[in-house]
Order: sequence, then structure tokens, then C-alpha cells
Amino acid sequence: MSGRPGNPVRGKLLFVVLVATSLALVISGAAMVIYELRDFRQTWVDDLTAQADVIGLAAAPALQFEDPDVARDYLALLEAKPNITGAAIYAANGSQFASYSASGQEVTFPSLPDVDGHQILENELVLFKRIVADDEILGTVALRANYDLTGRLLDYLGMFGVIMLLSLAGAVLVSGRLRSLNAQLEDRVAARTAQLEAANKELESFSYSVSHDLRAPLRAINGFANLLWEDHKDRLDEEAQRKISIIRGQADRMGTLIDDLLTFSRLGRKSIEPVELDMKELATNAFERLGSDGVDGKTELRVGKLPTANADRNLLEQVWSNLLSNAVKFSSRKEHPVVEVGGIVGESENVYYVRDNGAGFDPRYQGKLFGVFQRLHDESEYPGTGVGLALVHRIITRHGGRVWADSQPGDGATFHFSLPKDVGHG
Amino acid sequence: MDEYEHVEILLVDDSPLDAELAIRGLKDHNLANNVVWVKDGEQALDYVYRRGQFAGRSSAGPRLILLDLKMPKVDGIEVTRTIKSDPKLRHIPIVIMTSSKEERDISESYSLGANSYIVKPLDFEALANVASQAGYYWLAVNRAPNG
Repeated sequence: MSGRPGNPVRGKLLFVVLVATSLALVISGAAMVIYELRDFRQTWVDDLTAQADVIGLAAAPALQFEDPDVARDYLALLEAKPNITGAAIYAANGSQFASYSASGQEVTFPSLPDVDGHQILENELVLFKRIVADDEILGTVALRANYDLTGRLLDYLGMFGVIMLLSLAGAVLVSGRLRSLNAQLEDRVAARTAQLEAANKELESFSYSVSHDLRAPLRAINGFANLLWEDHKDRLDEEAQRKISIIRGQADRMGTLIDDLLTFSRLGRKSIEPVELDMKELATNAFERLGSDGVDGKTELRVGKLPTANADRNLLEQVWSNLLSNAVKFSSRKEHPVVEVGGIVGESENVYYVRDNGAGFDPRYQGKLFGVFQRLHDESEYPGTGVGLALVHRIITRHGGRVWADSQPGDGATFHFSLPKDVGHG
Repeated sequence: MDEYEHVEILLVDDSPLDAELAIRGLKDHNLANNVVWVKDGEQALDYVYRRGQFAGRSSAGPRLILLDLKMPKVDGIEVTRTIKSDPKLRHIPIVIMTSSKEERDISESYSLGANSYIVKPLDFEALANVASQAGYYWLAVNRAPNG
């Protein structure tokens, strides 16, 4: 299964990594460009204003002394700023006092505004700034600078493209590594799944074989013991008859054991389908079924408050029927057997209980209570295979709940089980 | 009774002990006179198609097939599939007998058209019900009281 091309998980992983990377880049790039473009003009205006202030400050004496050469020299310093294409100093009366052109050609300016300000002419930003000294307006500095929004945008896009390419290359490299790690993981999962499936299949064929092959000799034992009984009963003395009845009884018992064990083993493989369950209905129905199964009707059932549960109907039916038949069985020797069921609503789980006034058990052996084929009482006194509580334990555990019991010998027993309010697993 | 003469049950089971018990059970219910026992699915198909060792058999039928599932060579599923897909034979009721109520056995036999499903040892009450549903009242009529 390793290294399949077009592996869906691997392909998806690469796709997700690339999409996430690209998306992050595009979003951050777009945000950056929008911010920058908004900021661009303000930065330029601030920058040019500062520039104009400096020039104005420097040129103020030249204006006062009407020495345009000095002013021109100052303006010539703008060579250091290639973005500034032209500059001019106007006298207070509005006449041009000195000018500068980066290209050497004459630079024109729009008419002087009354206040400081800036305007955009095609691809250029024009800024006017008053020269003020001692509250007297001496003149105006005008600056003309490149304001190439398209070029700027193209610059950004170019830069963005390079970053995008580099990041994607990085993402491909990283995801390549991730893919190989993921491939290893997938192979491991596939191997484990195959192992599990094989084990499950083995278990299934094992239990299938148990239920067929183990039963065949048992059927012969039982059947022929029956025939022996039917055909030769007259010739058998009492002791021989007793022995035959033991053979038949034990063969029957083994059949029941096989059935119980198979039920128990199948339980681990059956999927849980949780539905909303009326536990009151489930418990009373299970109790009534016990009655129809030949359990004498002398046991009184007291039904308390039973919160609804979210669990598998079939499995919970088994839980109630096992716990109730246990309770009935172990209280059957009382004069007034009483079985009580009830429940408590908890925060994250509901707790249910079945209480009887029967034989109880020694709390020292509590740990053994829920094991398969574990019995705490004499078989002749309370018959059973010892699978019932193990079954209950397995069902409740698979629902994510807990089972526990408390008792004193001769004082009855209480079996509790909890079920989480949301059973999401199975 | 007249119909009784025509009763013919084909018992297909590879286990001689199971077959003996089944035949004994049929006998207890006065149904053993016309039981033919074959040991596997291949023989069962030879019987219904009158070929091989059964090429010359003259009697009609069988009128009921009691079929074990797990058998060597041709198993019960295969026999059911063959008979139930043959328009000339599909009217013969097939009762599957097997050791357990394994869900997959039950569902597979029913999906192939088996008429009923009985867990061994044979429950004659159930067998009589199947037979009478198929219109064979003789089985119900001949049920012995002792069981």
C-alpha cells in the first residue's frame, strides 16, 4: 500500500499547504499594498513639506537680500533628491525668484495658491510652502516631484511575485517532507488496520468455528444420551439413569456456556448505534420478560425516576435484562423479594442503579464481580454461567460509562452504571 | 393416508451422527419411510438432477430438502443457490439445518431463497410449520404426540 501515486490524503495535504500559504501571502500582500498606497501620498507630502521648509529657511536671507544666486545654489542641492524634478522660489509678490530643474529643461508650476497645499498633476506631486520669517511672508517654495503610482504598484507587484514564488517553493519543499512523513504514517496506519482486520477476521472465524464445530460433538453427546434414555430406560437401574441425566444436563450447560461466550465475544465487534432511550420502558419491559421466562412472579419491582439515555437499544436491553435477572435470582430466597431501579441525572453523565434485598456479596471479592465466568456464589444455590455481569461491564464500558457495585453479604446488593450524556464513539 | 406414500425427504448432512439423530427424529414422527440421506452437496445435486449414482431413480421429488450448511465439496449455500435458480426445482422447499444462529448463515440462506432455517437438533414443531406453510400438511398431520 506504500507510495501509491495520487494518494488522496497526501494530495490533499499538499493542496491544503499550498492553498494556505498562497492565501496567507495574498491577503498579507494585499493589505500591505493598500496600506502602502494610502500611506505613500502622505509620506511624500510630509517629506516634500520638510524639504520645502528647509529650503525656505535657507533661502529666507537670500530673499531678504534679494540675492537669487544664493537661492539658486540652495535649490541646486536638490540634485541629491532625484525624485524632485523641479523647484522654484517665488518672491512675496508672486514673481519667480529662483528655479531649479533636475533635467535642465524649464519647469513650469501652476499658479500660486493663496495657502500652503499640494496637488497632483498627472504623475507628479506639486507642493507649495510659504516662507515665513518673523511672522512675515517672504515668499513661497514650490516643489515638483515624481508621483508615480503605477510604477510604485508595479514595484510592489514584482516584489510580491518574488516573495510568493519563494514562499511557494519553500512550501513545496516543506510539504514534500511532510508528505513523506505522512506517507510513513499512512503506511503504518494501513499496516495496523490490516493487522486489526486480520485479527478481527480470525476472531470471527474462530467464533464461527466454535459455534459450529464445538457444538457438533456436543449435539451427539446430548442426542445419543437422549436415545440411550428413550430406548434403554427400562434396562437401566436408578444409578445409570442418574448418570445419564448428568451427561444430558452438563451437555446442555456446555451449550449455554458456548452461547454466552459467543454473545460476549460478538459484543466486542458489534458497532454501537446510540439513540435516545426511555430507560423506564426498557427496564420494565426487561423485568416483564423475566416473568415470561419462567421466573416466578413473587418479586416486587419498584421503579424510581429513570432519566433517558443516549445509547444502543439492543445492548442496553441486555444490560437491564442481565442486571434485573441477577437481582431477581439473588433475592429469590427472600420471603418478600424487592428489586428497585432508579437513576440520578448528573452533569456529564447519568447514573442508574438496580438494588435488591437478596443474598448480596462479600465486598472483598468486588474486583472479581465483572470478570468472565467469575462466580461468587455456589452454582447449586444460584445457577448461572458467570457471563452476565461481564457482558454488562463490556457494554457499559464500550458506551464510555462505568459499572460498580456495593453490598454486604445477606444485605442485598446495588449495581450502578453510568452513561455519558453524549455517546459519540463506538 | 395416500399422500404419505409420496412423502420424500432428502436429508443432506455430512455428519453420520447428526443424520442418525435426524432420521431417528423423523421416525419418531412417522416420517422416516421415505427419507433419503446423502452425505454432501454434490450427492444432493446428483439426486435432484438424477445423475451419477442416482441416474436411474424412478421416484418423483424430493418434496422437502433438509440441508446442512457446512459440508465438504459442495456446501449447503451452493446447493440452495443451484436449486433455487432452477425454474424446474425451485418449488421444492429447502429447510436449512445448522449448528448455530450465526447471523451470516441465516441471512445468506434466506437471501438465496431457503424456505426456513432450523437450528440443530431438529425442532419438529418448526419443521412442521415450514412444511405446512409450503402446503405439505402431511408433516403436521403426522406429528407424533410424544416428540
